Amino acid sequence: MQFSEWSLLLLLMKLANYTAIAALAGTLLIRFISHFHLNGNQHTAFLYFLKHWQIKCLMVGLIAAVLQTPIEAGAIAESGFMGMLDRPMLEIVWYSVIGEQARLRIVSFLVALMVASLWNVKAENNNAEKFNFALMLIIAALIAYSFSITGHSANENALVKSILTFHLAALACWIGALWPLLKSCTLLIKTDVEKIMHHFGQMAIIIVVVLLVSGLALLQQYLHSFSALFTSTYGQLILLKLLLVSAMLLLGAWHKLFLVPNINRQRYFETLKGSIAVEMVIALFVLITTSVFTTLVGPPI
Amino acid sequence: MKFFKYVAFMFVLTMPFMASAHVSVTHTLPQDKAMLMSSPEQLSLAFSGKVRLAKIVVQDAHKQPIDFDFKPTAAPSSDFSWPLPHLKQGNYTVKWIALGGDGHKMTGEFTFMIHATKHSNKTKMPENGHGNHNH
Repeated sequence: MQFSEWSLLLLLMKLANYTAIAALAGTLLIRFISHFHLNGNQHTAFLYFLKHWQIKCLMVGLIAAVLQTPIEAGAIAESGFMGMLDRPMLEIVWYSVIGEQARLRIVSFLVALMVASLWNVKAENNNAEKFNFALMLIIAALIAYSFSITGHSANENALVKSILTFHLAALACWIGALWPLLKSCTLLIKTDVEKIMHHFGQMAIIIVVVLLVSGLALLQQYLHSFSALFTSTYGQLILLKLLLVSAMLLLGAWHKLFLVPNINRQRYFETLKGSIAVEMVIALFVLITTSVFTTLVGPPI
Repeated sequence: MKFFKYVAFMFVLTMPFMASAHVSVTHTLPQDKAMLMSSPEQLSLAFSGKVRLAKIVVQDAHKQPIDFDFKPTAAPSSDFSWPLPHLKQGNYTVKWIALGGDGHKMTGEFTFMIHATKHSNKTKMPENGHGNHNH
């Protein structure tokens, strides 16, 4: 692993991409739960928050997608920041899998921004809004798939790419839902917060199963021996990610089994808010760790 | 329980289809650490898979670059070759940067030495060039 200013830029770009897909997947999940389990117009302010948060994060994703080609070109050129404008380097990157990934992301984020802007939060039951949701779901799947175009899964078959896409989508749903869940505590009445938290807890079981099964499959794919998990940098970073995800899992279980059932007691409600905030900080470290081992460190050859 | 059994079964079933390979340098000309009796006529690099070669620099012992006909191209290839100008006696280092098929930056370098004699261009100590797969 060689660390340079380009490594930092590439890392930040990957982190921005992860944040964008997480925000998109998380808001879609919470929008889905809200649609089926919240009644009346009392949650309009919350839906407005979801819409604006989604648009902000999609903007971050679009900027990262646009900057991807010049940053990768600069990293390859090794001739300072002017390397970002080096035409032969830009062409090399643009016609490679990185360019393919950037093109898919730019188009997806642009369409997603348009779809998010057209989301009419006051008419959630309209067919147009259901179509809006379905379209956003397809775009989210495309963006999640884009992560399998480059890197260690680039030369793999469709099965491995699908596993990676599911793994990323599951993690994105979980991590991306945390901020909307925290905001729901201030924008919704307690009964609605309880409904959202309860149904998220049920969804989380499916998310965790997908995450673990796909994670194990990817681990088997990239680490050819169990010992590599401890002896290689890549394996050690995966162990760190597992540790962080386990901490999130424990917090999630505590929320689901203890805090949410007692949400009507102010003390537990406040504890729940604090605990979600802690889970968000851990989630950020999960994203940073994932960015490091997918950008700067490769699996042992 | 049935669901978990199904997932475990699918997991085991799909294992043989999962295999990966990293691209690396398979051959260089001159070979790494080669000791040549005369100036090499060409510079060649071969990879185990297709890459996009972004940069290749030949430097003498004083780190002065040697001009030769290299232009970066977006077309991927696994074999690259260029004619070299006449090189004087001394040590040379070849440094290259490529973009692998998976989008990872690859870097590598190898060295060779030219003796003062005018005999044939036989080489000694043949070894492949070093290559790194950067992430």
